[in-house]
Amino acid sequence: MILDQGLRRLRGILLAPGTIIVLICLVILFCAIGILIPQTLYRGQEYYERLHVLYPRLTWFIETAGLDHIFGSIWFLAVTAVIGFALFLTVIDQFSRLIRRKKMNGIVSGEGCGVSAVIHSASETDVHDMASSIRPILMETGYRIIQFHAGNSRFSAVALKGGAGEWGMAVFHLGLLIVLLAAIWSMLFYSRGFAQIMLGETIKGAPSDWLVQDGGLLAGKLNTGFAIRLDEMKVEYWSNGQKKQIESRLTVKTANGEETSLPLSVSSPLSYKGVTIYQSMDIGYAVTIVLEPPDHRAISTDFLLKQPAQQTTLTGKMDFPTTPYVFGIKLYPDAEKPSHFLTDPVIDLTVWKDDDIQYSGRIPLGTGVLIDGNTVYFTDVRYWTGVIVITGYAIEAVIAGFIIMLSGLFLHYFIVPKYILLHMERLNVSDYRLSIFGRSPLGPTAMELDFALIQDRLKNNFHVLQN
Amino acid sequence: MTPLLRYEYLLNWAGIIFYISATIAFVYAVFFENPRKLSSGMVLTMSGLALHSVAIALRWYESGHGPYLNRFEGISSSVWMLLVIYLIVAFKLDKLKPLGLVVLPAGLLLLAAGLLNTPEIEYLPPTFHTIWLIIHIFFNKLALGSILLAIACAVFYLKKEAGWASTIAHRLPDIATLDIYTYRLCGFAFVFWTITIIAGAIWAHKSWGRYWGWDPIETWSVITWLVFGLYMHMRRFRGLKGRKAALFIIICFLFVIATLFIIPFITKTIHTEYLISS
Repeated sequence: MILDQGLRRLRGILLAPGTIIVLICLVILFCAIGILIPQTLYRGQEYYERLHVLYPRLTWFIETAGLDHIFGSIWFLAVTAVIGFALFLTVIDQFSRLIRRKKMNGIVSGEGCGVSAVIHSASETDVHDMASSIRPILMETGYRIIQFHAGNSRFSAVALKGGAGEWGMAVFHLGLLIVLLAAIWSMLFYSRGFAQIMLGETIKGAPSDWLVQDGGLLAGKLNTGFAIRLDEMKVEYWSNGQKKQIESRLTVKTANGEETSLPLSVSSPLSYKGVTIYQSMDIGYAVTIVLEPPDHRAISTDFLLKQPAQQTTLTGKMDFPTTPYVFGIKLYPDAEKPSHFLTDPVIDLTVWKDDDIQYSGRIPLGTGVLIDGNTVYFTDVRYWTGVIVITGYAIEAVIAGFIIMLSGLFLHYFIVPKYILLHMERLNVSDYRLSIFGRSPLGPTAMELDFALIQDRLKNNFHVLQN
Repeated sequence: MTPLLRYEYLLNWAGIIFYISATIAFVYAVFFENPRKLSSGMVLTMSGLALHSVAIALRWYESGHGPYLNRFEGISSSVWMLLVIYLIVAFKLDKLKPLGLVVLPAGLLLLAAGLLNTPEIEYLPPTFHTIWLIIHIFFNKLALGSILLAIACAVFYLKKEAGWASTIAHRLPDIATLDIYTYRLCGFAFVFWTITIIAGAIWAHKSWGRYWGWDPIETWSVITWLVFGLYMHMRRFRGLKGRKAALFIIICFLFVIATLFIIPFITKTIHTEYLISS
């Protein structure tokens, strides 16, 4: 019983308008913190390492309170959970009220107003005839009559228009709840990885293939379950060298040997067996260099150079694995570049060993040079592309939630519910007093137009003596 | 600058001249109580809008994409949408014509500020080849137009409540109706802002593989959305009406301005790289 009372009290608190307003303000506060205090999501951990040197106490406070990653902090998660629960109760409550109200013949909420008039009929009429004349007027004004009663000397009608609009906010909150639940699911279970694949290369989709990987709190390591091979790649440029479109063709191969060829381009991801693959904007050329030491145990390495735009020189400086050398490469992929070898790509190569330059010169494709007793060959150049692989994002649920939210907003703002109670009382054989009371969530102003329309139609059919 | 862009530049400035003239007409109509000048203001606004429309069309033809890629294009199309919405509302509800006194100066100042940016043609990056961009930007501009009209109603509400009595004041709806119009226009702004966020999230998901990343622009847009939501809840449950509601709407508007015209140009993220680069 105490538990029951406690749950009821909790329910009352969560459904209270004041609580909703406080929760909205809290989320605004968290968002403001996320903007005012640099987040590691965008600035990186290095920012706070530098800040720690300058302001150790402030940095300690920010990091301890989780303000540097507010949207993943325990505070934000707690508020989100409370909002989710309050939203759930709100949706239940709103739908229950609407269903109860519908059973009570759909009385609409809102401020009311009324008009009255005395109507004179040219000929003697009884109540039923009068009611039959009034009924079509209501229907022409768009009202659906939900109750109608005609007696000996009076009749009354209850009519409703735009009743669907009353459901708008309930439907909107339901959609919002679905989006929130889908977002929480994604936050817990999503996995995301980024890999660089050279033309003709295959990656297994295993955790070791991802250059960058992150995931939700309960997500495991990302494993696609199938291999991915880059078969084709095409890059289009605008006249100023800016990228216009990047298109790839991938072959995905499952463990049982099933192969499927799929196209991929920017903003057109592909989905395969629950995994979504995106074409990254990061592309470039991979330069293959073979280093052959005197013992002829050749070592081959691919250097991936990034190309921000067409006709920009690709440069990179990196270690040559398992050797003491650092290679600085400048690649000219196009025949248009300044080159003694007009038809072949060339690289300008600089090689360091212990900060001393061992070699600096130009090497065309397919040729080699002697560097510090080793023969270094420039053997291949080909495209590479970045791919982003994602699982567990529940995007379908998010989109469903969005559609429901929009439906609710449409119902609420574009279908205005209006309720009319019409009462007519016979004064004598041809005179009737007509009273119309109307109510709408938008208040009396929303009813004025309908009252004016009804009065106009009454005037067409009867003589209105006084308003 | 190509010949077409030169014409575009001249047409934009010609449009501004008409907008200035329309502003003068509205100011004259309101402060010198000459309602006939309202019609002059409307005609001048339509003339300026016609020139502005041709300028946008020329730029669209020259660049091969709509007016949404850099600062200038974004501001220009926002002003265009604002004035179209104002004209539609003013023709449907004759009493709201005086809103031009607020709408026109806002529009022409924005457009002039936009022209101060170098309006070079830029090319669409690969992530912009999607219908969701169009939907996102279109409803964003509808939201801006709606909130600006709501502000205009709120301003006139405050003036009338403070005792403003003039021929123009009598032409405007009564303060209760102005309050309702403010609420309705805010409601439309809330709907359009919601669609903007949704379309943006779907576009981000298709392009970047994530529908929400707490990017500063995304965060500011959700703050603005929540502030609108707060207004709706306060109105519904706390009876927020009249003067307090009008002042609250002005606060909502400040958030809109921050989200659309300040944050995108001072933060550098994946969301803003094309705006910053221009």
